[in-house]
Amino acid sequence: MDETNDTARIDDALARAVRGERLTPEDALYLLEEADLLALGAAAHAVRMRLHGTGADGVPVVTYIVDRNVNYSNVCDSYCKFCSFYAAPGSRNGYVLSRAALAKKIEETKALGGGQILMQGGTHPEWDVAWYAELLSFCKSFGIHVHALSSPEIHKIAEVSGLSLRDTIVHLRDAGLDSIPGGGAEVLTDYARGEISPQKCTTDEWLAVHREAHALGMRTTATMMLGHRERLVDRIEHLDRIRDVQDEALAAARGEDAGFTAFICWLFQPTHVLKNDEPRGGSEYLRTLAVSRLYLQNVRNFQSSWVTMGPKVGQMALWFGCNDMGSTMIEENVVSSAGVQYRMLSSEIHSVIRAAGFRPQERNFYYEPVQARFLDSPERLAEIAGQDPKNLALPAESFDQVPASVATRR
Amino acid sequence: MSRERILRDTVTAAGLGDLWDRASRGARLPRADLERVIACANPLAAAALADAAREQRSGVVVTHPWTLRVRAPGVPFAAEDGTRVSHAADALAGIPATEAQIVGAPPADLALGLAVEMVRTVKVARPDLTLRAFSSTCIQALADTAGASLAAVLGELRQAGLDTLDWEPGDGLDEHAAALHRSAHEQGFETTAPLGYRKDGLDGAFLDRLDAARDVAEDTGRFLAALPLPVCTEGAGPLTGSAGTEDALACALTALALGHAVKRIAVDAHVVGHKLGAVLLSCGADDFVGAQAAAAWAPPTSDGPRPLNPDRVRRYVIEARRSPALRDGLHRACEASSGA
Repeated sequence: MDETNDTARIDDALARAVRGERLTPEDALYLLEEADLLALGAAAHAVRMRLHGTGADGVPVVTYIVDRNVNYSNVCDSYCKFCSFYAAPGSRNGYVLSRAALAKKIEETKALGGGQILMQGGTHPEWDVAWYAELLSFCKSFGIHVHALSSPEIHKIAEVSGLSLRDTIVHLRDAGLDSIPGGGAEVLTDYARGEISPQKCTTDEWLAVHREAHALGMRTTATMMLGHRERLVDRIEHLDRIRDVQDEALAAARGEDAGFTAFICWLFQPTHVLKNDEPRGGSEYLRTLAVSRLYLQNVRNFQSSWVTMGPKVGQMALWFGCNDMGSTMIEENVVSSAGVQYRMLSSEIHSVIRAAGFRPQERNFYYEPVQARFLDSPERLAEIAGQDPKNLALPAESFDQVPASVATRR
Repeated sequence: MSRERILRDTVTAAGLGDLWDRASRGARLPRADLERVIACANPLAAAALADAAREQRSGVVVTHPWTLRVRAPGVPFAAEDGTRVSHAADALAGIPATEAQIVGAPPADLALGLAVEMVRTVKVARPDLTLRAFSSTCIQALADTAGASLAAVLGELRQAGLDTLDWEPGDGLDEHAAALHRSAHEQGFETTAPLGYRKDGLDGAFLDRLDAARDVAEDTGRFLAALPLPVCTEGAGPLTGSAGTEDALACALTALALGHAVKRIAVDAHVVGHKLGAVLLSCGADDFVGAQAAAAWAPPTSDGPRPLNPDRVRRYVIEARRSPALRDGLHRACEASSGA
């Protein structure tokens, strides 16, 4: 095919996507491989503007949430090749947060204006649904939104407990689980998972958790971690599987908003046995993000992954299809364990959004606007949190922790 | 390559449609047009114009040096983060590179004789490499300390073997710096035009600097590249550092103002950050500074950022759908040399 025909094919696919028509997997792969980065950005931004428009002042709104990533434990028997965070069961490096530490984190999050915790750990070979129900119930008792337990964790809990996925999710929901994060997806093809996380749940198993949750009326998020051993075709297959599950959720909801609230993709940070892989750059991230926005038009919200890409590329992402800046990340442990350490105060996330040309709006998990408790300095944050600024946003290891072996016996 | 229709539509929707053909021809855009690019507040539209100009200028090629960073003796050297690699001046043999750069923080009262000795030392150790050193601020300080003219200082450094001048984050081409570069060009140097800006600083003052650079470039023809340089580097907090969208706009404005008069529009990955630097290759830039030479790369670890090696730079260029090409410090195509 000559150059003119190449461009015509790209023009046609982008125009269809901007109009809201569905891209085929072949279209998406072609765009991912061949389209100009800026052309993809322009089309993705057009889709974002069609879905979200502007605020009353004519300025497009970018939302964000004040929350905290809490990793209740790092014990995991999935042994993913890319992960710097996990400790094998029985390892001296394993921990599980004590209730006191958990309470402190949640109270601190609330004091900082947060209304949600994103809580994930690993796949533990012994902890059953009762253990997790107690954990969730404890967290929920603080009156916050509990966005917790990725698909692999829930799949493992069901397996350990000898329950169906549905019954497991019902137990967890009744104990306090409000929504399920999209963690552990990496790339949802068996080829890609076989390369980097062969012992974690399969693609079908990951999707099954979200299907069951959606069927129960729960909302979840979808993610993709790209830039490791996957092929471009794997990224498209991933998007296609997510789109199918979302179609099912929306069909069942009969016009109501349902299923995945948002899609978030980010770049893998090479570590451990994949340490010789070279990290990818901002172009690769923005290219995939834009194609994802064009392909997944049934998922309403797209988050910018400033945590892995840094605020600067995070700002560019707002012009490549994203309408949300994600979380302020009062605490984050998993990505930072791979050597990437970005955090923002509420005032900083406001500044970042405004500087990129948008109007910031704090939201809750459901993307409903909430009144921002705008915090304009570390000192003000510390005052609200009632502690010294240097003690804010502490990593997990700074808190009182219980050895995982003790927690297992509890 | 023909351009995607949506890019023209984006530029037109931003009110800049009349600039498309001129930008695509690589024509010089007057200041009034650059003011419109700033006013449209659409980084995609600005980048699309600049990228069309870039394509006309350099096609698919992105050049990049492979820099051997040298700690000169007698110059204070602060500890650097894990993304930087540098070598003592007596340990440069056998390291593949295409240029050398003297790094460190020369004191404001550095003696000219010591600066000349630094240059000679590095050139003796690696005569195969072009040498980049001393920002315009350093050159001015050397002249002030020595009580000598800029021309005299630049002449001595050139005679000692210095090939081109260095830059620092935020370096701008104000009146003094423009005169300094003009003087350097008269002494036979080719230099890079530094175009500093601060957060919220892409305004008339930035356009003044572009005007100054354009005047020098058109008069002397000896600017190798133009390099937008935010005051605050990637590590700066969001409240003080420039936005990624501002960096994209600065790159685009630089390309549209100076693309006709310099060989390349450069990005310095150590200033804007590695990941954003790769994105700026789609915003008018066609030169990527940042690849470092190392005697041996430390094994990658999971506890910190990694140095930017040439393989990663090549990957970034390929991810931008361009072809990487090595260059030396004077922007001449070359192969890496180990100095053997």
